[in-house]
This record gives sequence, C-alpha cells and structure tokens, in this order.
Amino acid sequence: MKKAGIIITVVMFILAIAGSIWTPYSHTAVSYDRLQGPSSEHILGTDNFGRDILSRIMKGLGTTMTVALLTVAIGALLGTLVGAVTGYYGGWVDRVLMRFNDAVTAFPTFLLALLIVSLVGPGSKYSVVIALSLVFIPGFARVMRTEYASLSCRNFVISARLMGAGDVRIMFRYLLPNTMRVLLPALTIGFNNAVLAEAGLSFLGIGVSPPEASLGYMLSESQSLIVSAPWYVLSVGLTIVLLVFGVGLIGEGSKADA
Amino acid sequence: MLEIKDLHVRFNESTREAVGGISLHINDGEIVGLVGESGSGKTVTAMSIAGLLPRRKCTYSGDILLNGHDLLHADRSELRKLHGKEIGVVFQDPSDSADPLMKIGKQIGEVLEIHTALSAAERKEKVLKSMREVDLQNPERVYNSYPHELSGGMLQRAMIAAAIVIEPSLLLLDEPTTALDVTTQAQILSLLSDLNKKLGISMLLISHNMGVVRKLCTRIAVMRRGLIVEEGPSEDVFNNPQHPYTQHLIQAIPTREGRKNE
Repeated sequence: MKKAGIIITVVMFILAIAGSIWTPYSHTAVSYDRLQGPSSEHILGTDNFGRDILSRIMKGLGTTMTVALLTVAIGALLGTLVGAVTGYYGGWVDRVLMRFNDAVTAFPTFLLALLIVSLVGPGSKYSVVIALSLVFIPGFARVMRTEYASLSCRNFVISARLMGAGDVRIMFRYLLPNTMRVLLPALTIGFNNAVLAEAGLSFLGIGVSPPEASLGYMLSESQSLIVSAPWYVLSVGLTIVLLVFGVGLIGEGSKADA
Repeated sequence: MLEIKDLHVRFNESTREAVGGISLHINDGEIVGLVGESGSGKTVTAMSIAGLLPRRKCTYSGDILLNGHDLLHADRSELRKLHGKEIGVVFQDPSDSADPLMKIGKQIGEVLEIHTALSAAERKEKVLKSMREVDLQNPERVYNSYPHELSGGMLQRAMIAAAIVIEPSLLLLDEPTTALDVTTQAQILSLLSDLNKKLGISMLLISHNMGVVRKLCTRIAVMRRGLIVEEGPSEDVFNNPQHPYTQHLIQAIPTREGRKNE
C-alpha cells in the first residue's frame, strides 16, 4: 500500500518538476485548434483557447504542489511550536493559547481562508500560502500538544531533566523525535487538505489567477465545458485525485507501520 | 556529605504529612538504605533530594544540604547546574527511563554535553570508559544501539553508566533492581557495590526489599508513615531490630527454613 503511494507520488513530483523545465507546448500559447480531443499531437487534447492540456496540467501541478508543500511546512512548523509549548508547560500558557486555538478552529476552514486571502490581496499563490498555513496551524498545534503532554511525564524526560537538560533541549531533542509517529501522518493529511483547499480557492476565483495555471483554476474552467470537452475535466480531476490518493496511501502506510 | 535536617513535606490536598520531619545524613563513600512500605514517604524523600517535588502543589520545610548546596530551596537554574554534576539518579524501570529514539552512547554522553566543554571525541572516550566500568560487553556496539535492542539488565547498566559518567558525589537509586529478574538483580547489586568501592561514590538506595538493602548497605533507615522509626548500621538493624515494625519487616524476608517465627 505504501509502495503504491510512493510510486504515484514520485510520478506526480516528476511531472511537476519536469513541467517547470519543459512542457510539450507553452502552457500559455493560444492556437486555433480549440477543444480538440486527445490525439497524437495533444495527448490530453486542448482547451477552449486551444492550449495544450497536458502542458497546463504539468504547470498547474507544480503550482498546486508548491502551495501545498509551503502551506504544510509553515503550518506544521508553527503548529509544532505552539503544541510543544502548550503541551510541555501546561498551566496558563496552555489555557490561553489553546482557547485561542479553539476560537480559530470554530471558524469553518474555508471561510477563514477566504477572509485572509481577501485581506492579504488575492491573485498570487503566496497569498494562498499565507492564508492556508494560518488556517492549518491550530490542527497541528492540537495534535502536537496531546503528544507533548503525554510524553512529558515519561521517566526518560524526568531523567533528562535530572541530567540538567534545559526545557528547549528536552522539547526538541528528546520529545520531538518521539512525536514523529503522529506528526508524519498529520503531515500527509495536511498536504492533501492543502491540495484540496488550493483547488477550492482557485475554483472560487480567489486563488491563483491566470495566466498562471493551477489545478483548481483549471477545474473551474473545465466545468462549463463538461459536455463539449469531457477529456478536459476528466484529466484535471483525475490528476487531483491521483495526487491526493498517492500521498494518502503513504500516510496510511506509515500509520500502519508505527 | 548529604545532610537532611528536619524535612517536612505535605501535599496540598492531603491532611497528613507525607514526610513528617526526618533527619538523615550520608557520609562520603557510604551506602545508606532507605526502606519502608508503599506510602511510607521514602520516594517523597528521594524526590526532595532530586529536586523533583511539585513545589506548587505542596508545602515543605527543613534543609537538604549536599556538600553545602541547599537542594530544597534552590531555584531551577541552580538545580540544573547541580543535577547530573552532583547527583546521579537511577530509576526502577530502565526501559522507561531511556529515550527510545536516542542511541545509548548519545544518551550517556548527554550529561557531558550539557555540563562540560569536552569535544565530541573526548566525550565518546569518557562514555566508553564509563560503559566499561559498569561491565557492559562490547561497549562499541552498545554505544550505537537503541534501547529496545538491549536486555533489561544491560539497559540498567547503561543507565547506571549515564548516572556515573560525570562522576557525581551522590547516586540516588530508586528501586534499581525491582524491574529485573533475580539473577540480573544480583549482578546489578554486586556492580553497585564494586562502583562504590572503586569510585567512592556515596549512594542512597531506596527499596522495599530488605534482602537487597542488607546486601548493599552499610547503614539503614527504616521509614514508616513519614517518619524514620529506626536507623543504624546495617548489621545492628538486622540482628537486633529495636522497633516492632522493623522486626515485622525482617520476619517478612523469606528464608530457606520458612518464616522465622512460625
């Protein structure tokens, strides 16, 4: 299961990286061959502007994956910091930060992301990254807090303290490696949520804007052509599904290993 | 060397004192046993020495002096300097007191990294030396092992190595053999006795096992309900127990002939 996930994900990564260097056609080149079905010239056909869909998917995959990776990295980093401090110290630090966390969680994820994007200014992939990573912090913080709190009373932590280890050393040298069994699955789930959220935001038109390609934006474009060019919506949709599916399999697999 | 004077500890939610005014001293190079049943206050006494009392949740008074340093009233940063350097602690269950994801050698070396300015190579040298001191076979291999790859006895030896690597003046042993099987217990006890003779480390052994205490200790203090009811040289306490509670404890040691007074 894990192996299949790794294969799918690696293929996706190769496609995305290749797309940043080379695509069969320019992803912005408009031509008169509009809405053509798959052929030897255009493997996945062309869209309503005559652009090669495969080229656009390769570019879009890159955009979407960059957004998702950055989002998860920032969200996990800050979430881990919050979780470590609250879980390890407890007391009033814990109460204040976690109530704030609860307040943020109370907003529907998507609405909150919409709000932040419109505050930061829509249109760029970096505003999407900022919005989504802020929205993702509470989830990571909560998972990590539980783990830190339960590990903190183990004897090896007391031993470390008795050796004279300081709090920062205990939190990151002793406890952090021991949280990996929950952090790694959380990262894969977070990545998938970020992919879907980016697609959702772009679908609504406040994510990445043209001429940059992103899977979500392409999905919203293709939706109106679902009857006249079904290959368009299918190829974009399947790419999103495969990306999420592959990473999901890795996450499930590593949970089963642990 | 270690001097406990009139130590009182009471937890806030309880009406009875967990430790009700005990005094005890340990001389240089001595092994003192602190025995008593569960709830007698021996672990709370040890926690006070190690600086592990949850200070906000209890009231305490008295003095605990280790080579002139006040352990009971020291703040956290002072304690951190004393920990490891002056006191080494060995816990009951070695599999829980080792970080499962850190290699043994690194764990033993941690205390050196925190308290000394030694280079990585010097630290490794010291760690290996201390591993040989506790009779760990193949120290080089054990150095790069994870805790789950070692047996309980080996792991407890490694934990003892971690406690002595920086040459503390006091070793606090909290039931160090309870989680081990009988053969390993005997080996660990003779190891501790060797270390005491070779390195001159003083030890405070906390145990409910009279047999273990008798084997190792030069002096014994018997605790009951937060008080020391009897204290004296090991042989005196065993051969001529004064307090009825001590007599009961000694009668509870199984012998080859069955119980003594039956």
